Amino acid sequence: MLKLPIQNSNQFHHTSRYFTLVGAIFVVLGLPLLSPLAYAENLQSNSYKIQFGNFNVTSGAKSSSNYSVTDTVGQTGAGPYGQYGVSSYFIGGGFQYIYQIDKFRFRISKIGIDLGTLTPGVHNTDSHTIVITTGGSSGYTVYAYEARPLKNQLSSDTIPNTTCNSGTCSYTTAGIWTTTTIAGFGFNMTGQDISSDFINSTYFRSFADNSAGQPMQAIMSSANVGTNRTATITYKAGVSGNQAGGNYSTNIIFVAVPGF
Amino acid sequence: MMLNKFFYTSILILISIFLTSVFSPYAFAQSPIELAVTPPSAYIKVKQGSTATHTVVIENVSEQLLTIKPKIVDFSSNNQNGVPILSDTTRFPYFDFDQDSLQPITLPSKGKAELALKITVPSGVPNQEFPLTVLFESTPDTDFSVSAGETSVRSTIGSNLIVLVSSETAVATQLGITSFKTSGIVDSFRPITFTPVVTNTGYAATAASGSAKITDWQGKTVAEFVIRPVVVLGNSSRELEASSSTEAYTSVFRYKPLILLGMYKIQVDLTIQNQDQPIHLLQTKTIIALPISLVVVCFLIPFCWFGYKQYIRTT
Repeated sequence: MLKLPIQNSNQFHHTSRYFTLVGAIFVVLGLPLLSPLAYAENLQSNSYKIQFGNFNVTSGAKSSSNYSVTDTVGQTGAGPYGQYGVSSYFIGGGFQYIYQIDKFRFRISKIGIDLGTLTPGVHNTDSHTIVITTGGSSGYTVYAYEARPLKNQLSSDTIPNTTCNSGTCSYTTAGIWTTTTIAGFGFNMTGQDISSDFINSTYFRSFADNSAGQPMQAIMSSANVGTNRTATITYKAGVSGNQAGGNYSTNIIFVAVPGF
Repeated sequence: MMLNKFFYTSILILISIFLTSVFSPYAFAQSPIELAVTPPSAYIKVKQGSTATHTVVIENVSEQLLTIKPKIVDFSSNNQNGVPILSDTTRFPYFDFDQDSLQPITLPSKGKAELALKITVPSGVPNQEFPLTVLFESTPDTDFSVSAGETSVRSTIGSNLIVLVSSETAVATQLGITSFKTSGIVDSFRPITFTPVVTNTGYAATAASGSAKITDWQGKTVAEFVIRPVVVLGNSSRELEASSSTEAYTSVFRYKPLILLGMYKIQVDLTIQNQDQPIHLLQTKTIIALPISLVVVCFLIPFCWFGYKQYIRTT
């Protein structure tokens, strides 16, 4: 039977103090090692480092039969800071302000309109699309005008803007233009968010003539957020029997502006 | 030997045809052009005696080279739904540059450019708001323009900038509901529809949002609407729109039960920011629903019957 040698009381006292001190040091230094590990996301790699990243309590798009909402909860430094009309600055801090810095995009499918060879009694057409994307809550408007009526490149002869079958359509209001013996130049629109006077594909307007001081006209408009809102523009031209021969052309300008 | 010559000559001809078709003016005229601008709209305030810089980014999203010409114009409100009415020029006098000095820039495909607009407002000028639109008109590279006889199409894109010149720390709001655009009497078999119109008699744009409801003669709420937040420019009006609870897009203020009868009250509660405090604007309108169409029909039936009897008697 092995027995531990009995220490005298003084030695035992010094030894126990020593072990107490070592034990305390061990507890202080070792306790963190025993605590549960905290797993934190390492927001960096060889090619990037995200500073001030944060985990959100909740985020994303939610909806029900009564609402739809996107939110970001628990982000760092969420705004707004400052106020229009009060401060000299405004800072929209936080992920939700992404909607205010969204791009406004405008696309035209082609820039050359070829109406071919015009002969009396026949209407020729060509078309293209225009597409708008806007994240702004106030929507958009597209205006259109022509630099001048279709003009002969070698003379001052023009093909006049159409006044349609009944002679009542203009650059502000569309009318039915189906009679092929009625000459002129105009356009029709079909698709999304178009002006309400384009009732169907037989309704045409002329373009506002910038050379005559006519103001550009809205042809497509919406007050809502929209992605790829698309409309088709169909150009039509016809000539009378006494129209001088030659190449006729003009410039059509489309102006897309966001709402406010 | 002859066969090799023929083969290589054919390859060269095919390559030439391919390059011509891809890079011909016709091919470019048939290519789409697309522009993007950031931000779509911005509001800045500049005090007298200070400067500010606003940056607009224009991007050529097309596959072809484009020349972009910037131009700044005024716009005004259409007093209806936030559609800017563009002017030909601008009367804004505080840019640090002359508009004529804005040179065209050439943007490659997928290229971006920044237009920094520096504004310096001298001391002592009056408080005023200037709604502006920065336009970017694009033209394709002239070497590949449309061919003779073709009409060319040009694309212009805009970015709105509303500049408030004011020395006031907090601009007082002067917003009021001036109309409901509905009559006081409605037929029992037709819906109640209304469009609140808000007028801003102050010089600075103000944001407004809130809710509306319709109550019946017992005070019970029969319809509720959330008003979509809008900005009303200074010295202008704007129609309010309802945010539909069931659709992604806006809807009108409309209530259509099976039959309307008696007195209904429309109540609009707007929340607007007045200086640094939110305030509520409450406006109500009373509408009376009567079976007008029923009364007309009931009157017409005996009248027509009497007229028919008279006709039979005379014939």
